[in-house]
Amino acid sequence: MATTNLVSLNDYKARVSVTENDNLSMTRKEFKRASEITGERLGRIERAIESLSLQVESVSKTGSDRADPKNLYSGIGSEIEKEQPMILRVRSALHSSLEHLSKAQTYFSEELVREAEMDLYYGAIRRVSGLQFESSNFQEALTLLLVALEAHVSFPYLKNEIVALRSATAILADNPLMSEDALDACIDVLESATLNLAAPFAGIDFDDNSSE
Amino acid sequence: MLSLSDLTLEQVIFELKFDQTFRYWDICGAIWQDISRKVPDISLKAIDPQKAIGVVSGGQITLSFGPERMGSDQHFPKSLETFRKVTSDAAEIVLSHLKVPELVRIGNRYIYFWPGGSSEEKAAEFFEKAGFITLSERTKTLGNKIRMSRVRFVVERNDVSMTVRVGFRDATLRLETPSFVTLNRGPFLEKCVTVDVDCYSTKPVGVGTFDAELFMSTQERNSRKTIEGLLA
Repeated sequence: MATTNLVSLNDYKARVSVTENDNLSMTRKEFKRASEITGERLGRIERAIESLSLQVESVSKTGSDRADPKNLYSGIGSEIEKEQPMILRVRSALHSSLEHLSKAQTYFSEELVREAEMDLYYGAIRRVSGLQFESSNFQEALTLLLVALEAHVSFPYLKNEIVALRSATAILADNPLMSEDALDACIDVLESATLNLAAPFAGIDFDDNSSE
Repeated sequence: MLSLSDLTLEQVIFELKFDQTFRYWDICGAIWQDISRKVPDISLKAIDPQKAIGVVSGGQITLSFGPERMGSDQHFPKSLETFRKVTSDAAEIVLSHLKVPELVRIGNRYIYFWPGGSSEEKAAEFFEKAGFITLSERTKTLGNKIRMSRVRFVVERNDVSMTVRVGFRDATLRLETPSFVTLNRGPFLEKCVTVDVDCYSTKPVGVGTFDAELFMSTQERNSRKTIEGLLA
């Protein structure tokens, strides 16, 4: 439905432009075709975003419909946990890092606040990486997140990048024992915002055929 | 006064339930291969389209899985550590192969018995000591003695509840042997008092946050604490 609306809107814009300016070099038909192509592309992008958000939703389904991990791993009565299980510590650290992203999004127009919150987020993620949590997929996703953040230190953040980081962090928080699917979703989300996940390879020419 | 040390752990059971996944029929062999890599002393006992069953450590631990469940159990475990490790390794493999996103129910059950309660009188003594019978004077006029053969109650907690069943039950060992073989049933009790604590999730659980080993050790602690509380 949304795709159709976008096509119609472009079509309408094209028609209006042609009516308003008779000197336009494109005919109405050409304009219509051009607008449909744009619409198709927009539709494709929209569908990709839709499938991505479904993927994210499937791996980061939270809320009252699922059991809280705190309740699964907590003792009864007066039992006081000597030390919180690592899975809960990791989750709690990631949830607190999400607060910084939320603030960065809320105060997006205030550059200083936004970037300060992003710095705090970076620090929080680095602290998570210091926790000894054994899950190879989780560690891989966390490393990607750190690479993306490290590569971004000298640039201001865009809104879609903050949104992508928020989604990726939410996936991590909801899947510390990460499956391959959750890891893929995390990578897809980060890549969708064109965050640089290949920063460590900067300067390496993978197509270098000089030895031949 | 009874305490937890007077009871013997007879059986531990663990079970995961999830929505039916037809992948079981495609990759059952791959699952077994991975499990046998992680648990080398596992041997396949039975396999069909509904379930696959294997035994570990010469039959001490039974593992099974199918299109909508995975489970394990052990009788008279000497140490629960091995049971937890084997179960958690197998659960991780099964869930990742079957691509299960969510667990509908997680259950972990501990069945203890009291070796001292082999007669009805002894069982009544157990119930009285545990304080399960608190009848008013008025009820006592109904007869000389009121016996209670079982008690069942549910302790509701956030997302994980606990059903406790205490009962006097038949524990006769039933074995079919040839007529010329005489079975010495001496060491086996015919009847005994059992305390069965079943801990289970009341909400679906995301696989991404489910640590089987941690769940089992938490619930084992909780069930012991519940029994200690009952017997105190």
